Amino acid sequence: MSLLEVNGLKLRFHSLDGPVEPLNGINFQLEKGEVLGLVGETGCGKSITAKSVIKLISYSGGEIINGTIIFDNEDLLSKSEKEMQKIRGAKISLISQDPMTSLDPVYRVGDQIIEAIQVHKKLHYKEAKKEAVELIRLMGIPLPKKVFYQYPHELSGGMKQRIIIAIALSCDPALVIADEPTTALDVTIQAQIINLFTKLINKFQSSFLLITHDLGVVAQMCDSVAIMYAGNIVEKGPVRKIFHSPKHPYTEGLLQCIPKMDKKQKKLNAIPGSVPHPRNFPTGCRFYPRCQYVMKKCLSQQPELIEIDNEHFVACFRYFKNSDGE
Amino acid sequence: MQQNIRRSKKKLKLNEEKQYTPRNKSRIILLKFKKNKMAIIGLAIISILIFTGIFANFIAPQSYREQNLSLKNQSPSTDFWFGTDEFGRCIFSRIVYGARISLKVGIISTGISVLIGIIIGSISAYYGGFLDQILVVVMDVMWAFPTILLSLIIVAIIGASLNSVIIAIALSYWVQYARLIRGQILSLKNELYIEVIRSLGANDSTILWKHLLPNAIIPVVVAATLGMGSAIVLEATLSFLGMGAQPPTPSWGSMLSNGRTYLFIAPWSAIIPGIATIITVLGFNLLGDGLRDIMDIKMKE
Repeated sequence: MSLLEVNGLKLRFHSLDGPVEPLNGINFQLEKGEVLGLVGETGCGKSITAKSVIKLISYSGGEIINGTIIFDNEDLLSKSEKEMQKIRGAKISLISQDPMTSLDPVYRVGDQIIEAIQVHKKLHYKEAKKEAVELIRLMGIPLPKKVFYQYPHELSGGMKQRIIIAIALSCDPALVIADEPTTALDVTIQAQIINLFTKLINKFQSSFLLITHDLGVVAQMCDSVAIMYAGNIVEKGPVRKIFHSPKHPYTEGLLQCIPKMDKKQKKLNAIPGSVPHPRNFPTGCRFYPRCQYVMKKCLSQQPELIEIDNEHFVACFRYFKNSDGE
Repeated sequence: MQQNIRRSKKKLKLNEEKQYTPRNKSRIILLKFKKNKMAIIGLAIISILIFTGIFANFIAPQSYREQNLSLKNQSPSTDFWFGTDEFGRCIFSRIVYGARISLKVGIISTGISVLIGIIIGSISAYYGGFLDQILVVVMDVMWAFPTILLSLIIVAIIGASLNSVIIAIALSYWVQYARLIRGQILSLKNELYIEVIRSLGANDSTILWKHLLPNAIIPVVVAATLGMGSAIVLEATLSFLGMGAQPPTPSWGSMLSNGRTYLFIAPWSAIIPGIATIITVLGFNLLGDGLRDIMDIKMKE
């Protein structure tokens, strides 16, 4: 039984120009202890998928109109806001994108960790403080007792991100959703944070849903990966399989975009065009305007995810056995 | 050499083990406060006034209500420092007792209006929607009324007394605090850290009162300090118009009003309560402006 199962997730945002539906029935599963990477370009719907999982999407103006989210054998969509508050932080926690603004500027970081602990655990301040200092130490921060008493503006971006990770892990959640945890940091700090993550993944028994657009991070940290494009998952499977034999033309393109050290390249590869806006998604396969293998069928019909190899799924007509063209 | 290394290692270890005392927020505020001369002058004026108000019984040389018609409209002398009024009462004593009335009205009415403003403004901003629309319309209507007119109406309805003046001022001024806090919370509630706190399972009241309000409160503290000055002026105005504290209660406004009749015979009976009001309001304004500079969230050392 998987820890998290998302089936046919659809969202709707109401805007002045009418409703927008950025997700087109997302399906994915996350096993206990698994690290799943969710990869895609900006605007393809990664972050809103994450926010939907802990049902915070309504605070950003969205609405879940279809699908099920099963977490630990419980249907999250049928839960009330009060019940969700008990799940958030305790069983599922979120690490947000920008460490610079993720901490409340008026409280000491230590007190913010303590607050996160005390929301769910009945602990006295002193016990909670011990736990908080231990957590700060675990994040690899030197002088944890000093950092405990510092305000967020006294810490650097990397430090803040560590504190945020500490807050997210404070109640030992079963699932940690990390929404681009390294995007706002510079490269050296990124590497440190990724190392910290790999260490923590081994230490804690949590599952991780890692949202990123950095394929390097995925290769280093994830067990499996799902590639998103324009509100669809176009390919998913174990990291090795996808990196060695990408099947979907979009995945292929993404992997080609990574500059290679061992080959002489004059120009970087790029996928022509850009992600369409949710308001004017093309009919049929949403990738066809940018696809080099486009067929007639792609213009009118949407391919579904099919299993082409053990645990390797792809949504492309090129792999349909009894399709018209092939 | 070896010893040196060992020593520095020991030092490092000591540094690590050292118990870190919390950095004192109030100490930093105090440091910044000491550098701000205007704020210190303001605070000094207000402290003197509060001291005078509390210990009025001991400071005032005479009773504020004792009439002595043989000594009316006396000019300032060693016996009567600020002279006497038309009933021969000691103006200095009346000013001293008047400080008590002014401060009482200023502090209590501002306190009430800040409280109303915070509750209505933050609920309106946080929950939004239909409730917000209604509350905004109510606030706009209240805002459109001139404060003096509004408070006069309220006093006229509930009767002229010191307590009704306090209520009237509170009800006339809460809108400015509500609007201020509403604007603050509207911009703060979309901050990422609020979303982070929500993603940790915090409920609405924790988010609103523990995280949004402390972030939004500083402009309100400044506005409230300045507001106490205006509340005192409004009290004096209402008393001047005879709608405030009733005689013989020594309100600066009513003293000014009474003294006005004798402006040519005994100018001090009108001028001195006026000066007292000006100095008080000046004190609150200086302190308020000073606080605005001091209470920056990001305290730099």
